[in-house]
Amino acid sequence: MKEQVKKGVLEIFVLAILMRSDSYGYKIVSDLIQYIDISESTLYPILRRLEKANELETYNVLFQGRNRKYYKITKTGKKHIDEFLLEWEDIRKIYDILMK
Amino acid sequence: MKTWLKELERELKKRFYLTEVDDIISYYEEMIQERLDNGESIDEILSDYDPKEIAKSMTADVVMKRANDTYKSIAKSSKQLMVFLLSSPLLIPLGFAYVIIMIVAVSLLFSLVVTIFASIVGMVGLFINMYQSGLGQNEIIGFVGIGLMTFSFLILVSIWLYQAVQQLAKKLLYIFSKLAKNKGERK
Repeated sequence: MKEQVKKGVLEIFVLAILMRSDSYGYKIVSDLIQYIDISESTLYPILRRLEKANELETYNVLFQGRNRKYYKITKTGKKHIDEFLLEWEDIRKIYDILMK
Repeated sequence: MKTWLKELERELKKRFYLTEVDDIISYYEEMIQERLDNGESIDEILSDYDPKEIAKSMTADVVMKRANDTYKSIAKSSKQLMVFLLSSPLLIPLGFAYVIIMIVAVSLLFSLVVTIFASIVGMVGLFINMYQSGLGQNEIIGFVGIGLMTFSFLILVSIWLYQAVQQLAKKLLYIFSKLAKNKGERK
């Protein structure tokens, strides 16, 4: 169960980063590393999963003669974040109780 | 870096389809390039990635993500999952359970095929017998009619059963790769 939650949270982290702007693999990892423990090899399955679920789209950009794959959040992805936030409203309340 | 990518490709090809391999390879190629551009040394970068580990950690995920619609792809995915389950010590019990369930399902299907075949042979024998015993033409035609009806009904049942087994294999594949994934991550 704990892994399930962690996986879900990782997905939301990635989507949240993509809410700021489209981004590419390496940048996503380096942005996220400030918040959570993530590596290139953990990111790959997450990106794949999100892409399969149509929560993000990809496009290629040529950068210094090589390819950079960019990821862009979709409507479905945004909906996912909203649903997640709604679900976790209760967690925030628990947090509030404990911190008061 | 070239040799490292080749090695990764070799490891991945053992388990995945070509499109999947290409996707993973280009992902890591991009990662390595980005880190090189950021001034990290190639040795430093490559020491972070172990092709074997990458291929292994990806199995459960990729197999689960496949559509697994045709019988062939189910068979391939099932086999991969089996090998994967049996090759990682932690997952061996799971692997055995999977193998046993698959064997039961396959033997069920096999026995059904045998039953159908046997009933065809039996029916033909019966008709020959009836013909020889000098029954009237009408009776024989009537019996043939009944025989054909039963036969087509049997075919329908077997098609349905075949689909059920295929569905079951698909579900099992999904459940077991999910289980394997969860177990793998708990390590």
